[in-house]
Amino acid sequence: MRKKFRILVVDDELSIRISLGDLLRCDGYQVEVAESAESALEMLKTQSFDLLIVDVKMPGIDGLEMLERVKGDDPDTTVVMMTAYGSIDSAVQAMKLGAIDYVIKPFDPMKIGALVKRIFKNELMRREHRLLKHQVQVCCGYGPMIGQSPAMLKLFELVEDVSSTDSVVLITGESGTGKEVLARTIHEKSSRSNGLFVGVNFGAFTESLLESELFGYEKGAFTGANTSKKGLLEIASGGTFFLDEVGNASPKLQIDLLRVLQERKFRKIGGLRDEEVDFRVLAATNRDLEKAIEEGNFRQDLYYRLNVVQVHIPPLRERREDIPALAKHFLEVLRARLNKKTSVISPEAMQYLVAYDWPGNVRELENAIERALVVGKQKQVMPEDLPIVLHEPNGEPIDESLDSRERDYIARKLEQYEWNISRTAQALKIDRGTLYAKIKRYELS
Amino acid sequence: MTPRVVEIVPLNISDKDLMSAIAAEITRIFPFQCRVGATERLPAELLDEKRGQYHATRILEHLAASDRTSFRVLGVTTLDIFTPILRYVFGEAMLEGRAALVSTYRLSTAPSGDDSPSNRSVFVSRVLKECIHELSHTFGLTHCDDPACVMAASLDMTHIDAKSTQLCYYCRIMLKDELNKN
Repeated sequence: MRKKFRILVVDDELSIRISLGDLLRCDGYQVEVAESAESALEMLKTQSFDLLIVDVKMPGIDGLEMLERVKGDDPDTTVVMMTAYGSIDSAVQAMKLGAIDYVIKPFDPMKIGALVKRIFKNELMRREHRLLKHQVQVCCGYGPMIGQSPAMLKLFELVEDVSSTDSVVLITGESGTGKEVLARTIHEKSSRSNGLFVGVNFGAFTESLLESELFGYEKGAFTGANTSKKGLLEIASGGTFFLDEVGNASPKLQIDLLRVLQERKFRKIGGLRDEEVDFRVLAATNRDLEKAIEEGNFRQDLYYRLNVVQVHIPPLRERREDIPALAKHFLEVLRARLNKKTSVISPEAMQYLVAYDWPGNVRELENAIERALVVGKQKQVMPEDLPIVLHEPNGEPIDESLDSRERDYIARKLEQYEWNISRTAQALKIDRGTLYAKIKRYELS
Repeated sequence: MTPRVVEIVPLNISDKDLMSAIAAEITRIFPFQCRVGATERLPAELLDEKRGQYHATRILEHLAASDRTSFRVLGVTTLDIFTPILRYVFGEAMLEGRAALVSTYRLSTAPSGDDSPSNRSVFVSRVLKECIHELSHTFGLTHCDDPACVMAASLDMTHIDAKSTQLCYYCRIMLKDELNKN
């Protein structure tokens, strides 16, 4: 839930603290007051505020000095300076020191409310931008789509074709193959690349949390909903909406999604009117949705809506020729991030990398390279730097050994974490929904 | 149990029709009885001579501190009021407190003397909206983003005229929650 904005009013005059505090509280903000810069600076050590409104002229540390100190500690702090004795010099100085505005007391009622509202509107946009940037970073964490294998060249061709359209694309592939990266690539190449890329993982959250995040809510929709909140569907409008692990969506969310996809409309929780949306839909799953439909776990009508164009990312074991390029790419990226001097993968280590089956796909390869960089002591990655699992012989035929190996590995982890699903899923770097599916599939319970 | 009563206190004003209209509107919106008290004069010390205006926050303190049996007090005055931070205010209230105040000084539609029925009707409508608005603050309601809701912030006359005398759906729910708490 979006938090209530917090404002700190700093003024040595009691009547100003009371009246400005009351005024802002009536606008629904949470307001604290301080009678001096010294006391405000003390408060800032333990509390955080979204906006400081500071009087210029105060005994002791004055407002401008306080502004300088606050900006020195955290340049992102938003500060409005106020004074009863406005002068161009002090206004210029305040703006130079980083104040967002400079207002003369007493204010015009029209101005102060609008000013604070504008500041917080910008702050909300900044937060949304940060959230989305974070999602993008998470999305791109596995690196770009790299590959020269025939399977990947065919995939890139298909991506070029679908990127120029506005069609719904269903991306399939095992965990760790880079479905999110591919979705991001399609968005970047599409005519909607100026819009936002908003992703939601249906395996990562509870149904009620997902519902409020997706649809947003109106003020008063439930206890604590003091303000209305935009949902991710609304934020994605104009851009691309990415439904990750859509196979894990609950039956109710499947119905809600179907309505959004069919009517291009949704209603906020507690809302009385439908909001229209305009975004491109990309979806991804590691589940066999046709099988899920047969088992009654996925809606057929939703599947038809999502499966307009299907793009399948092959597992890494089916394109071993791509492993050296991917491994080198991760080595370059990670050695810079980890500040390591290791710059080469030895031919022996590369043999191990290519021979291994990579049940966790590209994500597991990236983790293996990171481990090698952390434990390695030489300028090149040696076989002994690689995870021990790479040194185990591949005994049985690939398909059977993969399943049994995955089953054993998951069973070991479940025992290790005493069947705590969240912690086991975290350790395996998969979402809880996927873990439940694997427990069921391997009859581990 | 003693019924909960809102008391309207006319301050330097003797417009009985207006007071009756306010009382009727309050009983329409809130589940309380409403009574109109006798006209009172404001103590001279509440006037800020430098600004030539009355100090709204101090008037609220004066109203709340007085020995009244009502659980909410709404002062209505013709005088121009201010708070130290604003040049003027149409009204002021103690958020989740006992007292609220509305000034009619800046709510008139035309130069004084124009008592045409249409002007009077617009004026009364503005006063009623401000009274409901300020009284609702005493029940913890804050400003609403819906411009048609009576709890929308009124920064000038156009804002007041644009809103209705009604609470929007969500403010009604919140008012109900607050009243159930008390």
